[in-house]
Amino acid sequence: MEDSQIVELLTVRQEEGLREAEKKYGRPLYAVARRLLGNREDSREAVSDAFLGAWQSIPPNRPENLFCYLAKLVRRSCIDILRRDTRKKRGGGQAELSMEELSECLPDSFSLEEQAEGREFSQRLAESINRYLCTLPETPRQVFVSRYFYADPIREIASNFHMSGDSVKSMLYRTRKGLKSFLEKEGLYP
Amino acid sequence: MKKQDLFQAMNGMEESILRETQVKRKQGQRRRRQKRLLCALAALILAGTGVTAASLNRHAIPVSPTESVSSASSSPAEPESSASPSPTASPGKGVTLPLEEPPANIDPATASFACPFFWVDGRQYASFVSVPYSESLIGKRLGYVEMLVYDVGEFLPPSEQEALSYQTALGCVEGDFYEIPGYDPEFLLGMREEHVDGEKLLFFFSGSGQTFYTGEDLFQDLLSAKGRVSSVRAEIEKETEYEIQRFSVPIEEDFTPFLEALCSAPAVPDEETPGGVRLGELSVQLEDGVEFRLVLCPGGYVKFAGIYGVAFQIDSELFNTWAGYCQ
Repeated sequence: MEDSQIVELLTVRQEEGLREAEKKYGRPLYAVARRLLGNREDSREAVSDAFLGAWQSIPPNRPENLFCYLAKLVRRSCIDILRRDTRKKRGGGQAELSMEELSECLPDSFSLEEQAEGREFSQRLAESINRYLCTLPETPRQVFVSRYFYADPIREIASNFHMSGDSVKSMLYRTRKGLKSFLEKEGLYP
Repeated sequence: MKKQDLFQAMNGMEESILRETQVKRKQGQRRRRQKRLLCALAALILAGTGVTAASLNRHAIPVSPTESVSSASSSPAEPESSASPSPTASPGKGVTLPLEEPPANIDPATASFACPFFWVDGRQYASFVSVPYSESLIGKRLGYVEMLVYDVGEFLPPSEQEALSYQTALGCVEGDFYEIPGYDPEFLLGMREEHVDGEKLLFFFSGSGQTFYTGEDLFQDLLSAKGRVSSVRAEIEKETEYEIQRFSVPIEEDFTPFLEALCSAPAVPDEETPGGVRLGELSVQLEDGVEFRLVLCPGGYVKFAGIYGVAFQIDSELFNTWAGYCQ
């Protein structure tokens, strides 16, 4: 079933839309969650929460790309789970690895929770990341998104982009360094 | 906390950027899936892995001693480290699919989620079919399979890599697996899987360790399919730039002649078939709820989805009729 048909079913509150979404995207979404959390039960919970979130948010939202929309919901659920139980950070998932790599882009003192206007700052940060990614050539941009949004393992990224694992790692390193400089220029460092 | 904050900010990424990356990811997944469907696992067998006793132990599937798979097997399979790993065939002796442990260096990229598979006691089990879960469909719990999702430790110090090494090379699914009443667990296992619209049961088939002389050995001796087919569907796929759309279309035609032809067809090693793009896929449901897939290949060859290394050639007219339903 086409995404637009599924969204239409959800919009008119037909549960069949939820079933079709799960049938079409349940497995790849579970893959994203499983990679982030490294834990079966939590991953299932994250995917269930994401579908519940979709049911609650469509309408009013009408996503054009349902998978990306659901992937964001899954990531959000994963982050909630990680925050709820910090032990999960060491559960073997890629989330901790990804976050560790990304942490190079921010100074030690940085924390959204410590920001007076955390939500607004988070929005600015997201916009800056988007702007930075738009300055990159296609391949480094997609490799970055594969790693830090979809939490794809290095080998899988290497396979997708016909590169070696080492090339992927060095490309990610350069991109992270570039992001750090970009955030500095944008005044996002305290 | 700062790491999580930046990680969270990534959720504000523009949809156009996510979408272009998703297209690339899908292309990669599709490539790997096609590779897999064209006997990726058979290729792994044929490549030979030189698995040592030590590495076999390291990769052994963690099955509870009291609930081991071998307890359900009439003769527990020993890894045939010295045997040729490729399917063997000789006149009148059929096609024997070897037992084989997981390769030591399986590419995690191959182990994606499109086709769940795992190893137990040297047998490769692969699943192409799931049905709504029913308690009557499963029997005794036989064990547990650990999941291979990714190659852990790429960014971890050696000490932590070691601590996480239990996650290596076992399969691309995880969970308890069960016998299916009425079937040999060396041939068919089941695994439960939760979905939004209810629980599903995945059927995992294996041909490892089996010798096939004719289709009768598979479709009658192992499946008892004659007289028990309740319905047949054509599984049609249409690829677009972004996704693969799947349609399942019921076929009214009597399946008996096709099944009879399959049963009387001699087994042929996969490498003797012409290969190429598959012409269609049939989904066959049995009266007890068990379901399997048949892949229709050029030259009138029919392969059983999940059992790699053997094919059955049937009459071209009959074959073409059924392949036509899949277009």
